[in-house]
Amino acid sequence: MNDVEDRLRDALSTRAHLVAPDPRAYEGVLARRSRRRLRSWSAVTTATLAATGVAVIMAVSGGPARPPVTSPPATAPPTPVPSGVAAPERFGAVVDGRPGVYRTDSRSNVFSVSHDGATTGTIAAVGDGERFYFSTSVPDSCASHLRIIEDTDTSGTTRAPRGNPRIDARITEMAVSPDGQRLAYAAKTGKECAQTVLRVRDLTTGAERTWPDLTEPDESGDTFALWLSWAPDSRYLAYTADLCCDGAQGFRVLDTDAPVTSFLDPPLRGESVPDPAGAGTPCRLVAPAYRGTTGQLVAVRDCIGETETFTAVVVDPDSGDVLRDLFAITGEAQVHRLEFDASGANALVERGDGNDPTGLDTWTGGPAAVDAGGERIGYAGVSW
Amino acid sequence: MARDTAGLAELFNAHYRRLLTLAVLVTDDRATAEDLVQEAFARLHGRTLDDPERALAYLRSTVLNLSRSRLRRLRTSRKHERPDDVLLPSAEAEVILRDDQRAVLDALRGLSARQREALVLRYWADMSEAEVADTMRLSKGAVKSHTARGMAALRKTLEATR
Repeated sequence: MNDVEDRLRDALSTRAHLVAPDPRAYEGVLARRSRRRLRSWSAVTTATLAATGVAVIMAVSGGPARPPVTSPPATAPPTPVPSGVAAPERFGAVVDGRPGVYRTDSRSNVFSVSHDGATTGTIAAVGDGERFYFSTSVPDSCASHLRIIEDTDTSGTTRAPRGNPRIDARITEMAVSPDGQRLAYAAKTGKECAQTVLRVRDLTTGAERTWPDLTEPDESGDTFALWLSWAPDSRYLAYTADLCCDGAQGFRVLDTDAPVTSFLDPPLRGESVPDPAGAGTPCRLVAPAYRGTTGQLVAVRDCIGETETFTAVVVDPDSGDVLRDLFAITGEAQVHRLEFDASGANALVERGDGNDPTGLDTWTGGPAAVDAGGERIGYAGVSW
Repeated sequence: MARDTAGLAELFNAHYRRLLTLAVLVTDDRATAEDLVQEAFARLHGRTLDDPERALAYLRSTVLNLSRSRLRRLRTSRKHERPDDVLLPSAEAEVILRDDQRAVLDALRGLSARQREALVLRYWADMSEAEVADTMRLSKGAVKSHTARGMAALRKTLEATR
């Protein structure tokens, strides 16, 4: 046994001895089970009443009545997805907190095209990679620069980005609308850069609308808006709104043309959906993504129990109901994000263990490609 | 229901402490670990309770999956910050641990979730490769790979901080 192994055993053993269970822990378990039974009973009751034609009006305490979400109806016949469409050549990715443009060749090998190794930020593609917006955090401040990358060629030469507007917030997520006119971004702002906002910026005029987090700050800390995705009409925006650490996770759909409220105002959908395997494991719907121009909203059903499984499913944006499975996301690495090309025929699945210092937040599906630090990289060219 | 609760109490008394320790070693956050382990017990249902061996296997796997999910949410939410800023050491442990032990646990914190799980199960729980594979729901080859890479990264970090 070598020195490092000995040291590891010793450190783990000492740390383990410091763990003293709370004598009231069992009460916590019983309380959770009671809440779980109550939620199950409520869901069954509501479903039964609905089936018999009785409308159940659930009173929500606090706040004005929410208008119904009227995003593109998922039950309308979807626009047919063309077959045999090649995946886009270029895509944006964030590696270790740093944004870059990557391209794939016909064998799904991945190459870095434009990658600023020194700065942190995020990246958003315009269309199928015609150009990219990327944000870089301004050091020692709660601000970002927005830059545009274009004219990236396949030789890997980095062209100087143009344009450099300064944004008074630290941008964490971005998405460009399908019509190329608007940029949605989530950011941290305010004192100590701790307040989350969601903004939509007119890329022509620079005018912005802001949806704040109007909830009371709680002990668990931050709120984040994640995995933004525009509907084909460039009006509705789907995202996971994450009340950090202990809050529920699901997705919301925001009407960006409606009066501003809070980005936590649209109803939370997909917080708890049944496990199709029937094991009783609660699943959640996260990482919503509109499927190109088809109008379908797809989310990742994440079921955590004895095993963890990920499935891309088509969902109703109004109710959050799962309409059908689209494809299974196999492999052990966690799924971070789903993105479709404009045709809806190809999907990018961003995944990884997130703390590998050598490689990308990685992609899977389709032929295997570059292996960076043990995580496979590829591009899914799957038709459904 | 009474039988269900009695079975749960028995399992809890037999295994809670060890599962809590596993969760603490993997997440290095006592409050998070307590939350996850209680959640794992709460998810046990009738059939699993009848078979203690099955129940323990279920609990271990669920605790690890929940830990990984929680760590992932922390990291994904904060991906614009350095990854190793996300996990903070437990205050009480910092006082009692020796410097060299602290260095090892700091290095462990910098590994990926899977690597950390594999090392904790091998070097604290003393599981065989086959047992680790079963618990993590991976192939033995994948366990070997996570273990080897984790140890290599650990060794490199500890040598750099000497």
